[in-house]
Amino acid sequence: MCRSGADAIASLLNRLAGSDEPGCIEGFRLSSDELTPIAFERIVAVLNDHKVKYVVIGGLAALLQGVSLPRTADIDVTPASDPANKKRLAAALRTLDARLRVPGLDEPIEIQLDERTFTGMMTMTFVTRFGPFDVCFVPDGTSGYDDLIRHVQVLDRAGVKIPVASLEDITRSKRAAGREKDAAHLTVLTEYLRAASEED
Amino acid sequence: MANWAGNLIGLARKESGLTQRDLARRAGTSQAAIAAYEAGKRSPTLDTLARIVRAAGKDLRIRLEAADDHDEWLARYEASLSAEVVQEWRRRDSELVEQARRER
Repeated sequence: MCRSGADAIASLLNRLAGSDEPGCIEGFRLSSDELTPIAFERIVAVLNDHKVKYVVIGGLAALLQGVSLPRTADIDVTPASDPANKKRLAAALRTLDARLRVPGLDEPIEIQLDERTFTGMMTMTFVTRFGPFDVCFVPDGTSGYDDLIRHVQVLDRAGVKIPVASLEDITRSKRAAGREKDAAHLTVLTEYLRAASEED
Repeated sequence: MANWAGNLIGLARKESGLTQRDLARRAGTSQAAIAAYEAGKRSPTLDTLARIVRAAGKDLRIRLEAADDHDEWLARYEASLSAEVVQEWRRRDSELVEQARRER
């Protein structure tokens, strides 16, 4: 539903390289701490602690609403794109020890995380203490946070509030993305929504 | 690309509320062929795929996008996890699905 922006990432790296920011590229191996990482609730809790405005999208959002999609290990969110929220998001990413994953590189890199990190970026993929974490400001087929928040579902899982995009919005975005893997997901989503509407 | 064409056929058929037999009749093929495509046991040519989804009332559109290695990276990442971690992850996901369905 969200694509990595290779060009945008390259632009960001160039920007960091040309500035005084400590955007160092370091060697990377998964540490043992990072092998406990499929802990999306921990990521969500950090976002909530920092009062980030966001909506969980993608396979995890569908799963949390009862649709068993074969999801990947990452959590995808669409944050609000106002400057204050980007500042809060950057702070949350620092708390999560987030490093940037760059298309074409196996090893994430350390970058300066502040609100400027997101300038001109549509999609960024990170690796955090609690697993892969993707930020997509404008998922395919949507106009971003303000669009998705209209039909958001706020779930409570183990005391953590999780705002998730509606199944209809997830379906809309996957349809627009048109990736080959989305055809299978769309079949599952379509059948689930149809069954749910028949129950209602 | 495991079964991209078959998934598309299945999706088009279900969105149009057709059975495999209905779609086969409209597309001028057999129910067995549709079933084989959807199951990934056979792969249609592009022309055949376009014809079948058209019979379901859909047009096939193809576009080129910049290559994205995110899913491949995630697959490598997941492969680096221990079996215990993956097992626990899948177990929790199943629980979350069940919880959501109970709440409906």
